[in-house]
Amino acid sequence: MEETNREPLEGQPALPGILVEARRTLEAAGPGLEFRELDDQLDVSLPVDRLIPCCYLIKRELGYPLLMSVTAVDWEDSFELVYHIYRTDSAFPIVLRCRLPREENPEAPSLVSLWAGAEYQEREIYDLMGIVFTGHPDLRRILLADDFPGHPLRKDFQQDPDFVLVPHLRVPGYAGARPGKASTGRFLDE
Amino acid sequence: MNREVISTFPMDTEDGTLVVNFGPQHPSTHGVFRLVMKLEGETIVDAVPVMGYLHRSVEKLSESRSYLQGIPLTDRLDYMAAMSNNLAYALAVEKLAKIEIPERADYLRVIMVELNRIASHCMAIGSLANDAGAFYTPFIYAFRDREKILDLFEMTCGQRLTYSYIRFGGVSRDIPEQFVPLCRQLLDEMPANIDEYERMMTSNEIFLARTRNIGILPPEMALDYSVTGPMLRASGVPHDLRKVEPYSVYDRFQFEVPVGRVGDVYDRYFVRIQEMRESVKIVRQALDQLPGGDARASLPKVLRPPKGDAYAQIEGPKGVLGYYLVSDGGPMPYRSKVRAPSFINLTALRPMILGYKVADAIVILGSFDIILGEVDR
Amino acid sequence: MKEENKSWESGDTPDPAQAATLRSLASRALDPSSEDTVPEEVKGSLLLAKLEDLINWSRKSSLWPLGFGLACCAIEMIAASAARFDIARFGAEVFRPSPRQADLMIVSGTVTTKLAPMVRRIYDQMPEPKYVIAMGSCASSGGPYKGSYSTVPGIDHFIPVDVYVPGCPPRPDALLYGLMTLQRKIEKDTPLRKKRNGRN
Repeated sequence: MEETNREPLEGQPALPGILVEARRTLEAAGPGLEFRELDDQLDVSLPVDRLIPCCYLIKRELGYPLLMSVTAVDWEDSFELVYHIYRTDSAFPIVLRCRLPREENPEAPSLVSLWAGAEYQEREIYDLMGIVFTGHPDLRRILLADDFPGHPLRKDFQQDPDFVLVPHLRVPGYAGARPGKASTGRFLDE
Repeated sequence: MNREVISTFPMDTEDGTLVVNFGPQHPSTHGVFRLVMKLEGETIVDAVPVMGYLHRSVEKLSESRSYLQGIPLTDRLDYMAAMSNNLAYALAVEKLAKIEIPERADYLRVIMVELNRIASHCMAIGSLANDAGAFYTPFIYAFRDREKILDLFEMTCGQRLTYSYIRFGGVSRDIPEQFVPLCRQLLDEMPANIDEYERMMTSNEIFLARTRNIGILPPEMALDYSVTGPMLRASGVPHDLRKVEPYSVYDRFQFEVPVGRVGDVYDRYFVRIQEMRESVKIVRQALDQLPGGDARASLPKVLRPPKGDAYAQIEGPKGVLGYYLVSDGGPMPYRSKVRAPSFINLTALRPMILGYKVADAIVILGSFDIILGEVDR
Repeated sequence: MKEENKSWESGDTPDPAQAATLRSLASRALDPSSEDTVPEEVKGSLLLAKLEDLINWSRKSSLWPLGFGLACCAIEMIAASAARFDIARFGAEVFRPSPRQADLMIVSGTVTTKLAPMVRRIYDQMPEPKYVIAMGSCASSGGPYKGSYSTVPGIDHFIPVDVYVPGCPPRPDALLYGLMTLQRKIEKDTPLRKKRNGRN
């Protein structure tokens, strides 16, 4: 894991009571979870296959009904999925982190069966990062056109510079504002 | 010539249903939003929302801009309430880089964000009335009030719509002297204007018939679909981040959180009206308590936060707006992700409109109060 | 009516006195220095102008915009049509929802590669004469999103634009100034003669 600037404060309990209880329940559920306590959230790093059982515990037993955010980060050697889960009466979330191998289409289980609000967020991650969520009812692109080549938010994404100039849509008889130039559309080329 | 490929259900059907395309160019879609509906007569039996027509790759662009240069990108997400976007981003950067801001800046932030909330709700109510058929009259009234608030903003930061005013470290500049008296004057007139909207719509027969018991969202379903904001509160769940997780100086103000009962379109409209009244109260208290001092902390020219990540969220007018920033120690964020409330609220659109008629679907979509800049980022 | 025209073309007028009066009126109207330009009985009910000027005047004073708000600039476009800035002064308050009834497309907002086919299709659906205003920096040149993987850097890459209104977003007054510039451009148009700008 990368270093962090947010360590537990000295001389104070690292977690509010509600998160201490959450940690105890999750620890009792089985091995494989790593915990990191910060003053306002409980970070849990877990392998991908423990994701669904943990989320089931968090939702049903611990009573965290609100899945706030599903994010993916492209580290050069792996992908990281980050889930922020909240209660409606408390300010302290449980943050789940999963590492996935950096393949062409890494797989992760979908949380749509537990939280229906994950549907669009997982589709967006599939669209922009290429992570496939198994069990998702309708996994297809959401923000880009269906025939868009590649997954743009990856760090190694390359694109043909003329793609955005849409030359196939030009009005017939109109030469375009800058005719004859294969412009990249970037500032310094003009 | 047309290379657009959108996968929806097949357009030619044999079972007598009609497939109708609603958008992306349509006066009632609140932007470039497309809804492909399968109709049995006038009743919707299936619907596929298609979005992404305004996907401007804000997240990828932020990775090649410094933290300061990323502020104008945040304005244009929820462009009706740009101050809230700025605030969420500023809170996230301040959490990441451990920046303390002066107290006056905090109060100024609250004043701006709450004024912006009033302006945003004005437009939301106006366009909901538009969708219900009141051909532009409440809309023009709402814009009259918006113009007064936008005058205040223009006096402060020079912009009417996309401000870049609230930055990490405080605000970009202090308010001019004539801001406070003009703001107080506006706040004195505002309750009367809100009463005017209520006179036009709250007990209006036609509005009631169009919005009562339409598009009911039960509270458990709302939480399941990660719906937040006025929609969640109208369904009966009293979740307001300004009370649950007070950020900035919200814990110093007395205000209430309006909560609906049924969760229909009318409740969402009424929750927004009440929120406007509460915002007026908050701004009045903030003006009374406004301390002196600097409006911004001194920061290095190029901010290089230490490695790590931070997630900060605020209660925006549309819902919970969150920013997740990952830093690798450099001047530009490694990953910047926006938790957009309109995008996630739209997950609940499809189950809510099935079984209703097309006209009701338009009113339900209007009550979501989506902004496509946020939905598509 | 038809008979009169026929006889006018054939050269011999039915009423020589009437024809002489009209001819003298025409020559005097074109000469502002003459004292008795218009006789009393026709004052106020006779207008003499070039047909092209009349056509241009009617086109520029009743531009019907298409309701094509894409992004943040759309809010300023709506504010321009609201009560304070009032686009109705220029005859352009009738925002048509359908492109087949509109003659002005104000592209207000960013055009992405996913939306570009729709923009092109809507442009094709508008009947001639049609005008395009690129409102805002996104429509003019890509705006703050230039260099992204999905933003078309300016609609003038695929659609001919008449007026560019810069700004992010431009104030409603700026949009009205752009509208007035378009009106001045239409004034100089030559609808009855071959078009100078090469369009159709």
